[in-house]
Amino acid sequence: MQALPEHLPPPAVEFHRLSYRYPGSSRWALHDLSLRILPGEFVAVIGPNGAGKSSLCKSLNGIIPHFEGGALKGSVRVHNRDTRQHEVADLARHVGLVLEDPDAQLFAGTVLDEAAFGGENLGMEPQMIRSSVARALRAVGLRGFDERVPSTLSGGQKQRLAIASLLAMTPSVLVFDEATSQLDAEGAQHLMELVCRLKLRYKLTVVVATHDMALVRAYADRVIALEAGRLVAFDTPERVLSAPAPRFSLHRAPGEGTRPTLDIAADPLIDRCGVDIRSVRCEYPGTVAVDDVSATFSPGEFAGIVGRNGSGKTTLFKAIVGLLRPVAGEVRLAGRPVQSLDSTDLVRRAGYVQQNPDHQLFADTVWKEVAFGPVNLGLDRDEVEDRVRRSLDTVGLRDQANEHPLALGRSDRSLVALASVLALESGVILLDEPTRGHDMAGSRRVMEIACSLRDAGRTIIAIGHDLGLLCEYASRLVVMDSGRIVADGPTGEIIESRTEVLEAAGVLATHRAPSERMAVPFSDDMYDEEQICG
Amino acid sequence: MDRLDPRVRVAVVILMSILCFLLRHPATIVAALVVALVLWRAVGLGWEELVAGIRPLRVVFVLVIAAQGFFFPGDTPVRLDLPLLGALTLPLTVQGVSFGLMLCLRVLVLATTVPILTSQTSIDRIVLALTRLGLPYRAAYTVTTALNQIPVLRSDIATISAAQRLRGSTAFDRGRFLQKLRAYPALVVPLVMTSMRRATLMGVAMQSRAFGSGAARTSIHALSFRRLDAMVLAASLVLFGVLVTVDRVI
Ligand SMILES: Nc1ncnc2c1ncn2[C@@H]1O[C@H](COP(=O)(O)OP(=O)(O)OP(=O)(O)O)[C@@H](O)[C@H]1O
Ligand SMILES: [Mg+2]
Repeated sequence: MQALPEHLPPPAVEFHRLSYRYPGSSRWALHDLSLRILPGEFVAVIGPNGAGKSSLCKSLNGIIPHFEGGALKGSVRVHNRDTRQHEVADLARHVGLVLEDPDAQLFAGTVLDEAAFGGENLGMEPQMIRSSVARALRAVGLRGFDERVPSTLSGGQKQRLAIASLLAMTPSVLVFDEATSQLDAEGAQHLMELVCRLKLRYKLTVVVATHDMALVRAYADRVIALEAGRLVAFDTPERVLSAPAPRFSLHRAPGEGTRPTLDIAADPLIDRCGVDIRSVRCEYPGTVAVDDVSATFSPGEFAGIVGRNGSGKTTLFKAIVGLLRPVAGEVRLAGRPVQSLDSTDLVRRAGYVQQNPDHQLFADTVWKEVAFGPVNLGLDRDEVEDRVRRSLDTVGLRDQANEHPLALGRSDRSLVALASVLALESGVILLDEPTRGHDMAGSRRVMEIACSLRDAGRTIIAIGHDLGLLCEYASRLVVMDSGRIVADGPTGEIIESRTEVLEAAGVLATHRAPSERMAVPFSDDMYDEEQICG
Repeated sequence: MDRLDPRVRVAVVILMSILCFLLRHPATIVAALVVALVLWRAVGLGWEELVAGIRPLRVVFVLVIAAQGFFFPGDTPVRLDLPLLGALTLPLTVQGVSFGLMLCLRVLVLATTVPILTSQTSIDRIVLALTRLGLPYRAAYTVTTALNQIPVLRSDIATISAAQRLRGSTAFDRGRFLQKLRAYPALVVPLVMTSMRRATLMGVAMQSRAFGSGAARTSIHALSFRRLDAMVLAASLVLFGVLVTVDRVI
């Protein structure tokens, strides 16, 4: 590595020939990494699934190697502290790490206690904690949620809370490991703008591992590109991501060659299996989550649903499969009210890939996981085997058939969940944020699978926050806001002529150019001058 | 009642637990149960929650009574005079059955007492109370977090059974008792797996937020001992004394 020029400040983070291997693995997850991140720098970490992004993030606050074990060579220094010589809890004063899965990071009884937990552990003054917690919750759009139980929040709201809990500790290095993957476009944008202000004002160092290239282009000062654990580039976004990506590529036909062919037997029931939602209203104690929603979805249709976090998308899906009984209205699947269906009839009509795949994995091998549904349907052995093999081939997990589902990486776990639903060969397939956690290639693969299902006469409804991606594949777009459908029609029409609705629903990001961002007034005093940097 | 000082809650729960083991007469245990039920309502818990909490214990109760009836030393067999079948002698003793019943009553009192601790109050406040009462912070946090896992487990069960139903498992349809029984392993194994996995991830998340760092811990909650607290505490102590005395006398 070349010597740093004299005038540069000491680095906030310094990797020196870092190599790391997980216990029981023969392959280096990170391989001979040397780089320096300066204070006040926004660094994006990109790379395909399995490239080592999470490992890099976890090495910043000492989870690697303190928790994970394994073999570590070289060193990581954060503000000149060697991570091996300091406990995770001590490094937490300086490094705030937010992981992807919010369910695994929330444990307190209320939103307020959750966000205050870190400050309390640091021994901050109660008054100071209260004000920094209030600021953090406001910054992520969770004002007024103080007394809510974290487990009752929507997926995106949970992610926002996980982020606020770290922001409230006012770290000097903030690390997001795909921590914004479930945020709506508006929420992600607000958060990034906030982070940029903190960066300019307090020299907050930001490290963000993400698959969202628009975000990288808009906010990153430099980009770390990883591949198979090796550093392949560390430079400005312009140079690392040479070709600019179009914001919407509406009429581009995706490459036909990549679409998997599915041979699904024709089934007279399933072939006319649509969804009929009639004036459905769903409530949780104290909230109306879905309010007077009506829509029909027909076989051979691929519809996308977009909307702000907490707008009721997941709740609508739960009502469609009967997990939640609407307080008014009803849902019909292939003509029958969903509440009247027994489980066999239900799964022939509808399959549901949940927002958090871990909620639907329970078998001890991938094979058994996928076979669970077909076995319950009473199919004979050959048919079960056949379906499992086809489903695993479709998602590309044949080689992992004997592994434990929960031992796989995040994107593979969500593919197992998808395969387990594919094996049901249901008439309607509901996909709740199916591309979350996938790299571009993986996301496209999932979307192509959905298209194949549509071509096989299935009804496909997919929730997503990546409007650009959804638009490429879904021919119909449903926009939700505060529990209601505010727009519903052909994708092209909505994108072209209903921009104000999209904007109001929080699903359009309008990333400003960096020069404009600098001019954003510092309205929020998240950090106190003397609190930061130790 | 959510204003009740958590230290008073801790004291009340401890007193009730002691009562469970101290009392020997069915009448006083029933009286303790009544007290527990009054407290249950007073801290804002509902009857549905009570039923939901006790329901899983049904099987245990039946087993305990049968087992005690069978094995407990005693010499009076249980006779049933059934209208059609005539007199029926069961291989159970009256002494055993009544001992079993007493055991169940005690468990019932405990089961209705413990949720009083955590209901309608933040875990943070309980932890704070326990530390003020002298427990080290880590221990206090572990105890309360463990208590708090009960509702978490319940929601895990709901999640897993929903996922299984959505993949065609009929075990969770109405009135399929035998199938339910057979589906238990399919439920318990993933439950244990997810709990263990969550425990590990939670440990990581907690340390990432400086849990266990050297700093002296602060809390955003302040405890204040007020008149209501004093009254509840005094009433509990008096009741405790009365029940124990009555129990010795009768
Ligand atoms: N179990 C629950 N108890 C109480 N309120 C809930 C519960 N689940 C969801 N909510 C609330 O209902 C509203 C809709 O939630 P839902 O999960 O449907 O949102 P969503 O559109 O899927 O959001 P996201 O994009 O974050 O996944 C939210 O305000 C949420 O906080
Ligand atoms: Mg959702």
